[in-house]
Amino acid sequence: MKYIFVKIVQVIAFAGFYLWELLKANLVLAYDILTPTHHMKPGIVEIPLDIKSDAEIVTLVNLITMTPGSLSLDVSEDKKRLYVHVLYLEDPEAYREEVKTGLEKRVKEVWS
Amino acid sequence: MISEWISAVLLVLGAFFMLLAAIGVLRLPDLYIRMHAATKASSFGALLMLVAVSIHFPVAYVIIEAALVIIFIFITAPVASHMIGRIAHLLKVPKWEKTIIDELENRIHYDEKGGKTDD
Amino acid sequence: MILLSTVITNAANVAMGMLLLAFFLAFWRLVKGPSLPDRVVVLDLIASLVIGITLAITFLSGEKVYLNVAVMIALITFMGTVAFAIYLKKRYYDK
Repeated sequence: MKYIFVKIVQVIAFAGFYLWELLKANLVLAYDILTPTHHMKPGIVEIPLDIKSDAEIVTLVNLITMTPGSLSLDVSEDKKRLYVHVLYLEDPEAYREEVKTGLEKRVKEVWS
Repeated sequence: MISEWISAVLLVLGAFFMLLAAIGVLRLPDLYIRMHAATKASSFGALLMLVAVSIHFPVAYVIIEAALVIIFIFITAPVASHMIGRIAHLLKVPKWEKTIIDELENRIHYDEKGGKTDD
Repeated sequence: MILLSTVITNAANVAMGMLLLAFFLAFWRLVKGPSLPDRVVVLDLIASLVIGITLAITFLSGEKVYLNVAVMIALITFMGTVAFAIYLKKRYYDK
Protein backbone atom coordinates (compact mmCIF):
# COMPACT_ATOMS: atom_id res chain seq x y z
CA MET A 1 0.00 0.00 0.00
CA LYS A 2 2.75 2.38 0.97
CA TYR A 3 4.63 1.38 -2.18
CA ILE A 4 1.69 2.39 -4.40
CA PHE A 5 1.38 5.74 -2.69
CA VAL A 6 5.09 6.47 -3.09
CA LYS A 7 4.89 5.42 -6.76
CA ILE A 8 1.97 7.75 -7.46
CA VAL A 9 3.83 10.67 -5.89
CA GLN A 10 6.92 9.82 -7.96
CA VAL A 11 4.95 9.67 -11.21
CA ILE A 12 3.27 13.01 -10.51
CA ALA A 13 6.63 14.58 -9.70
CA PHE A 14 8.03 13.14 -12.93
CA ALA A 15 5.14 14.58 -14.96
CA GLY A 16 5.66 17.99 -13.40
CA PHE A 17 9.38 17.86 -14.13
CA TYR A 18 8.62 16.83 -17.73
CA LEU A 19 6.22 19.73 -18.30
CA TRP A 20 8.65 22.23 -16.77
CA GLU A 21 11.49 20.98 -18.98
CA LEU A 22 9.19 21.15 -22.01
CA LEU A 23 8.28 24.78 -21.29
CA LYS A 24 11.95 25.70 -20.78
CA ALA A 25 12.96 23.90 -23.99
CA ASN A 26 10.40 25.79 -26.03
CA LEU A 27 11.39 29.17 -24.60
CA VAL A 28 15.08 28.51 -25.34
CA LEU A 29 14.20 27.39 -28.85
CA ALA A 30 11.95 30.41 -29.44
CA TYR A 31 14.74 32.74 -28.39
CA ASP A 32 17.17 31.09 -30.76
CA ILE A 33 14.75 31.06 -33.72
CA LEU A 34 13.65 34.66 -33.35
CA THR A 35 17.07 36.31 -32.85
CA PRO A 36 18.89 36.93 -36.13
CA THR A 37 22.27 35.38 -35.25
CA HIS A 38 22.63 31.70 -34.43
CA HIS A 39 24.79 31.23 -31.36
CA MET A 40 24.77 27.46 -31.16
CA LYS A 41 27.60 24.95 -30.92
CA PRO A 42 26.08 21.64 -32.02
CA GLY A 43 27.69 18.27 -31.53
CA ILE A 44 26.84 14.57 -31.30
CA VAL A 45 27.72 12.93 -27.97
CA GLU A 46 27.80 9.27 -26.99
CA ILE A 47 26.25 8.32 -23.64
CA PRO A 48 26.85 4.87 -22.13
CA LEU A 49 23.62 3.49 -20.68
CA ASP A 50 23.21 1.80 -17.30
CA ILE A 51 19.51 1.11 -17.80
CA LYS A 52 18.59 -2.13 -19.51
CA SER A 53 14.90 -2.56 -20.30
CA ASP A 54 13.19 -1.15 -23.40
CA ALA A 55 10.64 0.84 -21.40
CA GLU A 56 13.37 2.70 -19.54
CA ILE A 57 15.26 3.45 -22.74
CA VAL A 58 12.13 4.80 -24.44
CA THR A 59 11.43 7.01 -21.43
CA LEU A 60 14.99 8.32 -21.48
CA VAL A 61 14.81 9.00 -25.25
CA ASN A 62 11.53 10.83 -24.78
CA LEU A 63 12.89 12.89 -21.92
CA ILE A 64 16.10 13.75 -23.79
CA THR A 65 14.18 14.87 -26.87
CA MET A 66 11.93 17.12 -24.82
CA THR A 67 14.64 18.73 -22.67
CA PRO A 68 16.24 22.00 -23.80
CA GLY A 69 18.75 21.71 -26.62
CA SER A 70 19.10 17.94 -27.00
CA LEU A 71 17.69 15.38 -29.42
CA SER A 72 18.33 11.64 -29.33
CA LEU A 73 19.61 10.25 -32.64
CA ASP A 74 20.55 6.61 -32.31
CA VAL A 75 20.73 3.64 -29.95
CA SER A 76 23.46 1.11 -30.67
CA GLU A 77 22.52 -2.45 -31.62
CA ASP A 78 23.32 -3.92 -28.20
CA LYS A 79 21.37 -1.12 -26.44
CA LYS A 80 24.39 -0.04 -24.44
CA ARG A 81 25.09 3.37 -25.96
CA LEU A 82 22.87 6.30 -26.85
CA TYR A 83 23.84 9.06 -29.29
CA VAL A 84 22.49 12.53 -28.60
CA HIS A 85 22.58 15.68 -30.74
CA VAL A 86 23.25 18.62 -28.41
CA LEU A 87 22.75 22.24 -29.45
CA TYR A 88 24.73 24.15 -26.83
CA LEU A 89 27.71 21.89 -26.24
CA GLU A 90 30.52 23.25 -24.08
CA ASP A 91 32.25 20.04 -23.05
CA PRO A 92 31.19 16.48 -23.99
CA GLU A 93 32.42 15.02 -20.67
CA ALA A 94 30.41 17.51 -18.66
CA TYR A 95 27.27 16.85 -20.70
CA ARG A 96 27.65 13.07 -20.28
CA GLU A 97 28.00 13.52 -16.54
CA GLU A 98 24.93 15.76 -16.46
CA VAL A 99 22.73 13.19 -18.21
CA LYS A 100 24.01 10.27 -16.12
CA THR A 101 23.41 12.02 -12.81
CA GLY A 102 20.26 13.93 -13.78
CA LEU A 103 17.89 12.38 -16.31
CA GLU A 104 18.98 8.75 -16.13
CA LYS A 105 18.67 8.71 -12.34
CA ARG A 106 15.14 10.09 -12.57
CA VAL A 107 14.13 7.47 -15.15
CA LYS A 108 15.53 4.67 -12.98
CA GLU A 109 13.65 6.01 -9.98
CA VAL A 110 10.31 6.10 -11.83
CA TRP A 111 10.61 2.60 -13.26
CA SER A 112 12.09 0.92 -10.17
CA MET B 1 -16.07 34.58 -18.98
CA ILE B 2 -12.60 34.05 -17.54
CA SER B 3 -12.38 30.54 -19.01
CA GLU B 4 -13.17 32.03 -22.41
CA TRP B 5 -10.19 34.36 -22.14
CA ILE B 6 -7.94 31.55 -20.95
CA SER B 7 -8.85 29.32 -23.87
CA ALA B 8 -8.48 32.20 -26.35
CA VAL B 9 -4.97 32.97 -25.04
CA LEU B 10 -3.98 29.29 -25.12
CA LEU B 11 -5.30 28.96 -28.69
CA VAL B 12 -3.29 31.91 -29.98
CA LEU B 13 -0.19 30.78 -28.08
CA GLY B 14 -0.43 27.29 -29.53
CA ALA B 15 -0.75 28.69 -33.04
CA PHE B 16 2.23 30.96 -32.30
CA PHE B 17 4.42 27.99 -31.31
CA MET B 18 3.41 26.15 -34.49
CA LEU B 19 4.33 29.24 -36.52
CA LEU B 20 7.64 29.30 -34.64
CA ALA B 21 8.26 25.69 -35.65
CA ALA B 22 7.66 26.60 -39.31
CA ILE B 23 9.98 29.64 -39.12
CA GLY B 24 12.62 27.46 -37.47
CA VAL B 25 12.31 24.78 -40.13
CA LEU B 26 12.75 27.46 -42.76
CA ARG B 27 15.74 29.32 -41.37
CA LEU B 28 17.84 27.03 -39.17
CA PRO B 29 21.02 25.80 -40.84
CA ASP B 30 20.98 21.97 -40.95
CA LEU B 31 18.66 18.96 -40.69
CA TYR B 32 19.39 18.03 -37.07
CA ILE B 33 18.86 21.56 -35.77
CA ARG B 34 15.67 21.83 -37.83
CA MET B 35 14.45 18.63 -36.23
CA HIS B 36 14.81 20.26 -32.79
CA ALA B 37 12.38 22.98 -33.92
CA ALA B 38 9.95 20.67 -35.71
CA THR B 39 9.64 18.16 -32.85
CA LYS B 40 9.54 20.35 -29.75
CA ALA B 41 7.68 23.43 -30.90
CA SER B 42 4.99 21.69 -32.94
CA SER B 43 4.08 19.17 -30.25
CA PHE B 44 4.02 21.91 -27.62
CA GLY B 45 1.71 23.96 -29.87
CA ALA B 46 -0.62 21.00 -30.30
CA LEU B 47 -0.63 20.51 -26.49
CA LEU B 48 -1.67 24.13 -25.88
CA MET B 49 -4.40 24.05 -28.55
CA LEU B 50 -5.86 20.78 -27.24
CA VAL B 51 -5.93 22.18 -23.69
CA ALA B 52 -7.77 25.21 -25.12
CA VAL B 53 -10.35 22.92 -26.75
CA SER B 54 -10.96 20.99 -23.55
CA ILE B 55 -11.39 24.22 -21.57
CA HIS B 56 -13.85 25.62 -24.08
CA PHE B 57 -15.99 22.47 -24.39
CA PRO B 58 -16.12 21.09 -20.82
CA VAL B 59 -17.74 17.75 -21.71
CA ALA B 60 -16.29 14.47 -20.45
CA TYR B 61 -15.66 12.85 -23.81
CA VAL B 62 -13.96 15.92 -25.27
CA ILE B 63 -11.58 16.11 -22.31
CA ILE B 64 -10.79 12.39 -22.48
CA GLU B 65 -10.23 12.51 -26.22
CA ALA B 66 -7.98 15.57 -25.95
CA ALA B 67 -5.95 13.89 -23.19
CA LEU B 68 -5.54 10.75 -25.30
CA VAL B 69 -4.35 12.77 -28.31
CA ILE B 70 -1.87 14.66 -26.12
CA ILE B 71 -0.44 11.43 -24.71
CA PHE B 72 -0.25 9.87 -28.16
CA ILE B 73 1.51 12.89 -29.68
CA PHE B 74 4.03 13.06 -26.85
CA ILE B 75 4.84 9.36 -27.11
CA THR B 76 5.17 9.26 -30.89
CA ALA B 77 6.85 12.58 -31.76
CA PRO B 78 10.23 11.72 -30.14
CA VAL B 79 10.14 8.22 -31.61
CA ALA B 80 9.48 9.55 -35.12
CA SER B 81 12.26 12.13 -34.86
CA HIS B 82 14.60 9.45 -33.48
CA MET B 83 13.96 7.22 -36.51
CA ILE B 84 14.38 10.02 -39.05
CA GLY B 85 17.54 11.28 -37.33
CA ARG B 86 19.12 7.84 -37.31
CA ILE B 87 18.39 7.29 -41.02
CA ALA B 88 19.60 10.79 -41.88
CA HIS B 89 22.89 10.14 -40.14
CA LEU B 90 23.19 6.80 -41.92
CA LEU B 91 22.62 8.52 -45.28
CA LYS B 92 25.32 11.10 -44.35
CA VAL B 93 23.13 14.17 -44.59
CA PRO B 94 25.58 17.11 -44.34
CA LYS B 95 26.04 18.74 -40.94
CA TRP B 96 26.43 22.45 -40.23
CA GLU B 97 30.05 23.58 -40.46
CA LYS B 98 30.11 24.77 -36.84
CA THR B 99 29.39 21.26 -35.49
CA ILE B 100 32.24 20.65 -33.06
CA ILE B 101 32.19 16.90 -32.44
CA ASP B 102 30.54 13.80 -33.90
CA GLU B 103 31.09 10.66 -31.85
CA LEU B 104 28.57 8.64 -33.85
CA GLU B 105 30.53 9.05 -37.07
CA ASN B 106 33.66 7.75 -35.36
CA ARG B 107 31.85 4.57 -34.42
CA ILE B 108 30.76 4.02 -38.03
CA HIS B 109 34.36 4.54 -39.06
CA TYR B 110 35.53 1.80 -36.66
CA ASP B 111 32.79 -0.36 -38.06
CA GLU B 112 33.95 -0.18 -41.64
CA LYS B 113 37.58 -0.65 -40.67
CA GLY B 114 37.43 -3.37 -38.05
CA GLY B 115 34.16 -5.01 -39.02
CA LYS B 116 33.14 -5.12 -35.35
CA THR B 117 30.28 -3.33 -33.65
CA ASP B 118 32.07 -3.06 -30.30
CA ASP B 119 34.61 -0.34 -29.79
CA MET C 1 -26.18 25.76 -32.66
CA ILE C 2 -24.04 27.23 -29.95
CA LEU C 3 -23.85 31.01 -29.80
CA LEU C 4 -20.17 31.91 -30.06
CA SER C 5 -18.62 34.79 -28.22
CA THR C 6 -16.59 37.33 -30.15
CA VAL C 7 -13.45 36.73 -28.06
CA ILE C 8 -13.18 33.10 -29.13
CA THR C 9 -14.06 33.86 -32.76
CA ASN C 10 -11.39 36.54 -32.99
CA ALA C 11 -8.78 34.33 -31.33
CA ALA C 12 -9.61 31.45 -33.67
CA ASN C 13 -9.35 33.73 -36.69
CA VAL C 14 -5.94 35.01 -35.55
CA ALA C 15 -4.78 31.44 -34.92
CA MET C 16 -6.03 30.40 -38.35
CA GLY C 17 -4.06 33.21 -40.01
CA MET C 18 -0.88 32.24 -38.14
CA LEU C 19 -1.30 28.59 -39.09
CA LEU C 20 -1.81 29.43 -42.76
CA LEU C 21 1.34 31.57 -42.74
CA ALA C 22 3.18 28.67 -41.05
CA PHE C 23 1.82 26.33 -43.71
CA PHE C 24 3.29 28.45 -46.51
CA LEU C 25 6.68 28.75 -44.78
CA ALA C 26 6.81 24.96 -44.29
CA PHE C 27 5.79 24.46 -47.90
CA TRP C 28 8.69 26.67 -48.98
CA ARG C 29 11.10 24.39 -47.12
CA LEU C 30 9.39 21.37 -48.67
CA VAL C 31 10.15 22.74 -52.14
CA LYS C 32 13.68 23.84 -51.20
CA GLY C 33 14.78 20.98 -48.91
CA PRO C 34 18.03 19.58 -50.28
CA SER C 35 17.63 15.96 -49.14
CA LEU C 36 14.78 13.48 -48.66
CA PRO C 37 14.96 13.38 -44.81
CA ASP C 38 14.47 17.16 -44.82
CA ARG C 39 11.24 16.70 -46.70
CA VAL C 40 10.05 13.94 -44.36
CA VAL C 41 10.59 16.25 -41.36
CA VAL C 42 8.60 18.97 -43.11
CA LEU C 43 5.76 16.55 -43.90
CA ASP C 44 5.61 15.66 -40.22
CA LEU C 45 5.39 19.35 -39.36
CA ILE C 46 2.69 19.94 -41.97
CA ALA C 47 0.56 17.18 -40.43
CA SER C 48 0.88 18.96 -37.06
CA LEU C 49 -0.20 22.18 -38.72
CA VAL C 50 -3.25 20.43 -40.18
CA ILE C 51 -4.15 19.23 -36.66
CA GLY C 52 -3.91 22.85 -35.53
CA ILE C 53 -6.11 24.06 -38.39
CA THR C 54 -8.71 21.41 -37.55
CA LEU C 55 -8.76 22.59 -33.93
CA ALA C 56 -9.21 26.20 -35.06
CA ILE C 57 -12.14 25.06 -37.22
CA THR C 58 -13.58 23.35 -34.11
CA PHE C 59 -13.66 26.72 -32.38
CA LEU C 60 -15.04 28.60 -35.38
CA SER C 61 -17.89 26.20 -36.08
CA GLY C 62 -18.68 25.25 -32.48
CA GLU C 63 -19.02 21.58 -33.45
CA LYS C 64 -17.17 19.20 -31.14
CA VAL C 65 -17.11 16.51 -33.83
CA TYR C 66 -14.11 18.07 -35.54
CA LEU C 67 -11.92 16.86 -32.66
CA ASN C 68 -12.27 13.33 -34.07
CA VAL C 69 -10.60 14.50 -37.27
CA ALA C 70 -7.62 15.69 -35.22
CA VAL C 71 -7.45 12.27 -33.53
CA MET C 72 -7.37 10.48 -36.88
CA ILE C 73 -4.71 12.76 -38.35
CA ALA C 74 -2.52 12.27 -35.26
CA LEU C 75 -2.85 8.49 -35.59
CA ILE C 76 -2.11 8.33 -39.31
CA THR C 77 0.84 10.75 -39.37
CA PHE C 78 2.98 8.55 -37.14
CA MET C 79 2.41 5.60 -39.49
CA GLY C 80 3.46 7.78 -42.43
CA THR C 81 6.69 8.87 -40.79
CA VAL C 82 7.59 5.33 -39.76
CA ALA C 83 6.88 4.10 -43.29
CA PHE C 84 9.15 6.78 -44.73
CA ALA C 85 11.92 5.85 -42.28
CA ILE C 86 11.67 2.16 -43.17
CA TYR C 87 11.67 3.00 -46.88
CA LEU C 88 14.81 5.13 -46.53
CA LYS C 89 16.53 2.40 -44.52
CA LYS C 90 15.68 -0.23 -47.11
CA ARG C 91 16.94 1.99 -49.90
CA TYR C 92 20.18 2.52 -47.96
CA TYR C 93 20.80 -1.18 -47.41
CA ASP C 94 19.91 -2.13 -50.99
CA LYS C 95 22.53 0.19 -52.39
